[in-house]
Amino acid sequence: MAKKALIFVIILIMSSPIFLAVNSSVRRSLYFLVTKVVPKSFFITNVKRNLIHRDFDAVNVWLSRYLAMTKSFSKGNNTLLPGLIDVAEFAIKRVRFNGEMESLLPFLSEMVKNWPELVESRVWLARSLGSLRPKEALKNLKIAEEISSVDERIYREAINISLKNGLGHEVEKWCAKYKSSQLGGPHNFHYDTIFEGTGLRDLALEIINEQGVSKVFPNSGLQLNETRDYSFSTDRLVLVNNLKLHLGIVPGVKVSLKEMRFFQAGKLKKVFAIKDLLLSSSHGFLSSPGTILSVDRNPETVRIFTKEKEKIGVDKVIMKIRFEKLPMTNAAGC
Amino acid sequence: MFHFRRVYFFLFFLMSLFSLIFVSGKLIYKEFRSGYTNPFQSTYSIYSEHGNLLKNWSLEHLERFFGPFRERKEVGLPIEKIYIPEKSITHLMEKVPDSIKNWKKAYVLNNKGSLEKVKVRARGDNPLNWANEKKSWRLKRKKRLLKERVRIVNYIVPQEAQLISYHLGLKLAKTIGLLSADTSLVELFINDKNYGLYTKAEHFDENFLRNNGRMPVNFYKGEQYNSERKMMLNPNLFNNPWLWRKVSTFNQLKKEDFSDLESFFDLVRKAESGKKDFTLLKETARFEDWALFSAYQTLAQNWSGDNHHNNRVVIDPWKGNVIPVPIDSALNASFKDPIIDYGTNSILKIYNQSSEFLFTKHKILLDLLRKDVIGKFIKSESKELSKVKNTWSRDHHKQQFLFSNYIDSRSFEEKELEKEWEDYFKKINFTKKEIQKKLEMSPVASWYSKRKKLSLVVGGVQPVKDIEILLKDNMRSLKVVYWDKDGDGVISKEDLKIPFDVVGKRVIIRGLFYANRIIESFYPKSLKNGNNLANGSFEIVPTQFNLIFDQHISVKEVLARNGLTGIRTSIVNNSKNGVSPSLFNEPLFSKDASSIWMTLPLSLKVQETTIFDRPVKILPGTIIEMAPGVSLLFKNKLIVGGNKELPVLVKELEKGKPWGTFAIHGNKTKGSKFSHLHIKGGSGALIKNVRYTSMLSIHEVQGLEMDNLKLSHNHIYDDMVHIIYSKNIKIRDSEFFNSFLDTIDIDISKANIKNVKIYNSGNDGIDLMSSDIIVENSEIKNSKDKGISVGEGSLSKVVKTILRNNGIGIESKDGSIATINDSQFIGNKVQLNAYLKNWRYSNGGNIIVRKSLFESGNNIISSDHWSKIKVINSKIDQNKIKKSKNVKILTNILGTLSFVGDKTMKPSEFF
Repeated sequence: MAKKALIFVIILIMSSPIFLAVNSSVRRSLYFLVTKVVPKSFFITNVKRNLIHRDFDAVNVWLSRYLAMTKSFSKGNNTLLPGLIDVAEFAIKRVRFNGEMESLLPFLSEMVKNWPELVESRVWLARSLGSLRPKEALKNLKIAEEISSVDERIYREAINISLKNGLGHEVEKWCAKYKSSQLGGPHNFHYDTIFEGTGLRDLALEIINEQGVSKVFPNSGLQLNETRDYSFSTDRLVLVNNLKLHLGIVPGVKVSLKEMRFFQAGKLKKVFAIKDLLLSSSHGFLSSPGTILSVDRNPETVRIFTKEKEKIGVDKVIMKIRFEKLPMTNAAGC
Repeated sequence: MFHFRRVYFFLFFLMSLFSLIFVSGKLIYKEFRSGYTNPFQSTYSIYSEHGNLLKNWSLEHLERFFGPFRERKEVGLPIEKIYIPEKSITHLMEKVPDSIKNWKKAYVLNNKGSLEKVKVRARGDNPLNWANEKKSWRLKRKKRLLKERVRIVNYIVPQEAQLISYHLGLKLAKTIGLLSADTSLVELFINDKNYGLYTKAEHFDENFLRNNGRMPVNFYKGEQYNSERKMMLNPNLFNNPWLWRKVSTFNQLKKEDFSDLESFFDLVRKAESGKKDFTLLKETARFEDWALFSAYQTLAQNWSGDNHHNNRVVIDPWKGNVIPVPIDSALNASFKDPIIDYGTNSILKIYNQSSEFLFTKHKILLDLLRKDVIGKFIKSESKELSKVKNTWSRDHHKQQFLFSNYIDSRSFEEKELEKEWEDYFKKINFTKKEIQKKLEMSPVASWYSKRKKLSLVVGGVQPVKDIEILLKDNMRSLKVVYWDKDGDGVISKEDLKIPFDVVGKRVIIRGLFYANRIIESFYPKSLKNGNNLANGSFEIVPTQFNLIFDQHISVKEVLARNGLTGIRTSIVNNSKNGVSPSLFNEPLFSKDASSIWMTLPLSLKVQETTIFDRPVKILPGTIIEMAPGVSLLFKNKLIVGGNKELPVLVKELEKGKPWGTFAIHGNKTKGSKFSHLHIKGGSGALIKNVRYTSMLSIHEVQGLEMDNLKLSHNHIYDDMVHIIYSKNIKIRDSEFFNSFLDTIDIDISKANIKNVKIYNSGNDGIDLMSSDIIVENSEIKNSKDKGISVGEGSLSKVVKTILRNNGIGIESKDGSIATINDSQFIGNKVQLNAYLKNWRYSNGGNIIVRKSLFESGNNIISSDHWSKIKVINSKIDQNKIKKSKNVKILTNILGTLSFVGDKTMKPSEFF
C-alpha cells in the first residue's frame, strides 16, 4: 500500500509542473521563456570562455552548435534566433584580425544559408570573405544593400573590401549608392526606438512649455542632400521654453539646421537664424554652428534653445534642415 | 473482493492520471509550437485570456460529442465538401508553424458530384487560423479545372462576434467599387464531418486581377506581422520594398524587380516635406482611388492596412497608378462617436491632412450615405441570416470560436446570436447617421476683421465655402483678395490669390476651407502600449486663415456655407484665434486655368518630353517634329483638326532616330478627336512610371474618334497603336503600314474599326486582350503572325473584311469569341485557328464564320480540344480543306455570298 502511495506521490510530483502549467497561461509563458534564456546563457558562457584566449576556432564550434540547435527548432525566424545573433555579435565585436574573422567563416556561411534576409550575417560573412573571396563578399553585400539600403555597415564593409583588393571602380559605385540610399533601416529586436526602428525617414519635434510639459510632433519626410522645410503643426498654441529635435537616423549623417520659423494663428511670429539658437546633442557632435554629426544607432536628440528671453507662443514650427551623409573614405569619387 | 476493487480503482486512477498528463503535455506542446516558436507571436491570442487549456479542451470535446444531437436538420448556407487524407492533415500539423504552408493532396466535391483533385494547406500566419481543430484553409485547383476562372480560394474561420462582419466588410468594399476579393458564406464539410460556418474568399493573384478587368501587373503584399515579420529590420512597410512580396508579377519586368515600389516609397517620403513631390504623389496614388478607399474605411470603421500589416497594393504601369486593395477588413460598428478621418498608413496619413483629399473623400462619403448604399446593402445581406443561423446551429466548434476570440458566451445560443445581429445592425445604422450628421452640419467657423484683413477660423469635420462678407459700405473698387500663406501680414509672392465676387455690399470669397487634421501628438509618457509616432489618428483643430484685401474693409456680418451641402449660415464674430494652417491644408479654389484651351504652333520642334494638362487644339497643316526619344503626352481634351489637304504631321526631327510616343491619357480626354493625323518614326516611352509601348498610345480614354489616320514605321516598342483601359474608341478611314510588331493592340477596351487598311504588320494586325471590338469593311494584309488575334476573354465581330496573306487569318483563344460575317480569307497560311493558350481562362477560343469566302491552296482550319470553330454558309473548296476535329463546316453553299469584297484593294499613297 505504502509502495503504491509512494509511486502515486512520485508521479504526482513529477507531473505537477504539467498540471501547474496547463491551467495558467502566465505559468506556461514562464516555462517557455526558459527555452529562450537557457540556450543563450549556456552558449554565451562557452563563447566567452574561448574568447578569453582569443580562440576563434573554438568560438566557431560553439556558435555552429548554437546555430544547429536554432535551425532544428524551427524554420526561418524563431525564438532562439535573437539569442544566436546576440552571441554571434558579442564574439564578432572582439575580432581584430582577418584570420580571426576567417575562423568564423563556416558558422557565418551557415548563418547566411539559413537566414538569408539577415543583414547582420551578410555583413559579417562579407568581412570574413573579404581577403579570401572578395567578389563573393561583395555579392553578399549587394544583397544586404537590397534588403536595407540605408544601413551604413554594408557600405563600410564594401568600401574596405574594395580598397583592400584594389577594386577602384567598386569603391566609386558603393560610395555613390551610399550617399543617396534612404530606404529600409535596422531595428533592434530587444527594443523599439520612438520611431520603432531607425533609418533615414523620421524626425520629430518635442516642444517643451514653461511648465516643463512636453509634446511630440512627428514628420516622416526626411530627404537627403536637399535643404528642405520640415513643418511641425501643433494641436494648440504652446508657449515654448525649449525644443528637442528627435532624429531616427543611422550614424554618419550630417544634420545642418539652417533656420527656424515660428508661426502663430497663421502669422509668422519669429524667424531664428542659426546664430540665434543654441544647440546640444545627445550622442553626436557639433562640427560647426548648427551642424550635428550623428554617431549612434539610437535616435539622436538635438536640444534647441533660443536666445530670446521672452517666451513665444507657437502653433507651427518650420525648420530648414539639410541632411547629408558623411564620407567613409577619402578615396576618389567618395 | 475489496482488494480486487481497490486494484481496479487504483489502475483506473493511474490510467486517468497518465491520460491527463498525456493530454496536458500534448496541449502545452501544441501551444508551444504554435505560439512560441515564432518570436513575433504571443500565445495569448490563441487561447483565451485565462488560458486553461484542459478546460477548453474538455468543453470542445463535449460540444463535439453532444452537438450533433441538438443541431438543426435544415441545411443553411451552400455546402462545400473537401476530402483531405489523414496523412495530409498529419503532415500539415507535424511541425507547426513550419509545416502549415506545405501544399498537400486533397479532393473537392465538384458540381457534377465527382471528386476533383486539388491541393490544400492551412491559411494565415496568425495561429488563430490553424492551431485549433477548426482551421482556415487555402485550396488550389488544377490549372485546367478552374471554377469561374478562380484557382485559389480561402476558407476562413469566423473571428468576430457577429460571425458575418468580415464577409460584409469585404462585400461592401466590392459594392462601392473598390478592387476587392469576392466573398461568400459557406458551410464546409471536411471528410464528411461538418465544420460549420466559413467565409469563402477569393485569393489575390494574377487571376484576381484579370477577373476584375485589370492587366496582369505587379500586385504587392505587405506584411510585417507574426511569422511574416523580418528580423532586425525596421518594420515600416512604406519604407522598404524588401518587406513586400509579389502575388502577381508584371511580365515585362523581372520578378525580383521592385523598382516601382521603391520609387513609390521615395515619393511617399518626399511628399511629406515637399509640395512638388506631393503633386507627383497625387498623380501616382490618385485621390480618386485612395479617397474611395479612405471613405470605405470610414464607413466600415475599420482601420486595417497600417504600416505593418494588411497592406495590398496594385501598381499598374499602364495607368501609372498605385491602387489600395482592402484585406481583413470587417464591417465594424459601435455606439461610439465614429471616426471620419484616420491615416492608417504613411500615405493616408499625409493624404488625410490635405484639404484637397479630404474634400474628394467627403464628397464620396456623403454621396454613398445619401444613396443609402449601406442601408440597402445590409437589407439585402440580412436575407441570408436565416441560412447563417441554420449553419451556425450545425457548427460544433462554437467553444473554439468563443475562447480563441475572447468572445463571451452571448453568441453561443441562437437567440443571443439574433440579438447580437439586431444590435450590430442598429450600431451600423447609428454609425452611418452620425457620419452623415457630422458632414452635413452647419459650418463651424468664426471671424474677426481689422483694417485690410479678415481672419477666418474654421473648425469641425465639414468644410466651409463661399464666405459671404456683408460690408457696411459698397466696395466696387476691390481688386484682389489674398490668403496670407507665408504669414508675413502683407501681400507677397508666396500668397495665394482668391477668386471673389462683389454684389453690392457683399463680397463672396469663392474658396473652400478645412480645419487642420493634426496627427495626434503624444506626451512622451504615452509612447507605450503600442502607441508610437507612426500612429495616424487625428485631432481636428480650429484653423485660422488670414485674408488680405487691397483696401480697408468694414465688416457687418459674415455668412458661410457648408462646403458639402451648401447650407448657409451666419458665423460668429469673435476674436478667438485658431492655429496656423498645416502644410497641406490650403484653401481650395476652382481652377479655371486647367480648362483654357491652347493651340500648338503650326511648326513645332519638340526637344523634350512635354505633358499637356490643358485642352489642346492642333490646327490643319501643323508639322510636329520630334527629337530622338522625346514624347508628347496629352492629359486633357485633344482636337487634331487636320484635313485632306492639310493633314497634321508628326515625324522624327532627325531621320532614322526614333522619337517616343504621341500619347493621350486619362478621363479628362473624353470627347477628343483626331482627323487626318499622320504619324511616323515613333517608338514608345516611359513617362512618370507609365509605360507607353507604342507610337500612338491611348490610355484610359473614355471616348475618342479618329479618322483618316496614316501611321507607319514605328520602332523598338511592341505596338504601333496601343489602346488600353479605354472605351468608345472609333477608328475610321485609316491606314497603317509596316509596323515594327503589332499594328493595333487593344487591351481591356472597347473599339470600333471601320474602313481601315492594315498592311505588313511585323507581328499581328490587330491584337486583342479582354476587349470588345467591331471590325468593318477593312483589309488586313501581310501580317507576319495573325491578321486578327482575339485573346484572353475578348469578343470580336468582323464584318465585310478581307484577311489576306497573313500568317493566320483570325485566331481566337482563351475564352474568346470571334464572329465573322461576309468576309474573305485569302491566302492566309492558316485561315482560322482556335486554341487554349493561357490556363487562367480555362476555355479555348470560339470562331463562328458565316457567309464568307475561303481561298487558299490549302485552307487550314485548326482547333484544339478546348476550342470550337464553325464555318456556316461559306464558300470553301472541299478539296482544299485541312481541318482538325473540333471544326465544323456546315451547309457549304457555293455562290450565295452576299459580299465578296474588292479583291483589288490597294494601299493609297502614303506620305
